[in-house]
Amino acid sequence: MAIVSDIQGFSSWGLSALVGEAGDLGNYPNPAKLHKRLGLAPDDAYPTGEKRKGRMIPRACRGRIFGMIADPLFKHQWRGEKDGVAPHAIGPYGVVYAAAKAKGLASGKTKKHADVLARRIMLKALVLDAWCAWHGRPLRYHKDASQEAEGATISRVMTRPEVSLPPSNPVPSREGRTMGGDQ
Amino acid sequence: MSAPILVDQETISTIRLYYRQAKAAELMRMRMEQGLVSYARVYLTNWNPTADIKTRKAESLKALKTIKCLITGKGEPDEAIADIMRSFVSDLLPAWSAADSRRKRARRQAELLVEALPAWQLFQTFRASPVGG
Repeated sequence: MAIVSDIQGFSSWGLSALVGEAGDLGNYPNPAKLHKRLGLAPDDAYPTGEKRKGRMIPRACRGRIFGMIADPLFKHQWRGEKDGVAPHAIGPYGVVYAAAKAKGLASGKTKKHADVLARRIMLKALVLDAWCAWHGRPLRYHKDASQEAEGATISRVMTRPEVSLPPSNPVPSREGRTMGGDQ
Repeated sequence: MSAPILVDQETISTIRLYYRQAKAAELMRMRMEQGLVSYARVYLTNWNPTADIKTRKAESLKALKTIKCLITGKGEPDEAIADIMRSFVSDLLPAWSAADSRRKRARRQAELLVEALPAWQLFQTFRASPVGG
């Protein structure tokens, strides 16, 4: 039985970005593979490139995912210090962020380094939950919501909405091409 | 282990296509904006690579705000910069608007398709319940 909850800061555009970057989430047998595809796995997990190109980390993909998913999610899951109130989590992923940041600071990392690391862990938690939803499993980080939604009955068969296909790029035929030397 | 929810592969490809189109259109729009801001900053403000960071940031912000005002028509632009940049912006505005509307259209189409996915429908199920809000 699939159980999914409302996630503040994660819109349908966020899921579009996930699908746009990774394709069908059902093709990934476990969330670690999805994390790796999105550039969220530890750097050591990626193979080294040829010669001096370094590790083959999909940094552009990681950057897009951070910009489109992690930033809005952070804004909706974490409340900074204001009016004398200490910074605190306002959602389940904010709790993940807080725990990861505290752990990072305790291990001697700088404030900025701990923040970036904690954001990545928060994003990984969200991606894991999206993977779970796609596979019809209970969410790992949204436990209360999972229990509430347990009675939900959802069709596992998709009905496609009426959306027109984008125009494909016209590919010129070989006969129509003119080469520089053929003039 | 539960099997993944079956999703039409054509839908996935279409979502990816619209996503790529939206990102490409966004990139074009951003390039235009950055080009305008860059010109205004370098030639029409006191920005200088050797200046201290505070000055550079202030001048950069001035250029950015002016271009933003000229494009959106909201706010108070810096008149000295705006006088020169107005013609630049008006020449580029049709292309900027086309890229922006293309981005919005592609994004909306991708969102429509994603909202029909079973995974997203489960999100909506809980969103509708009073506990989820």
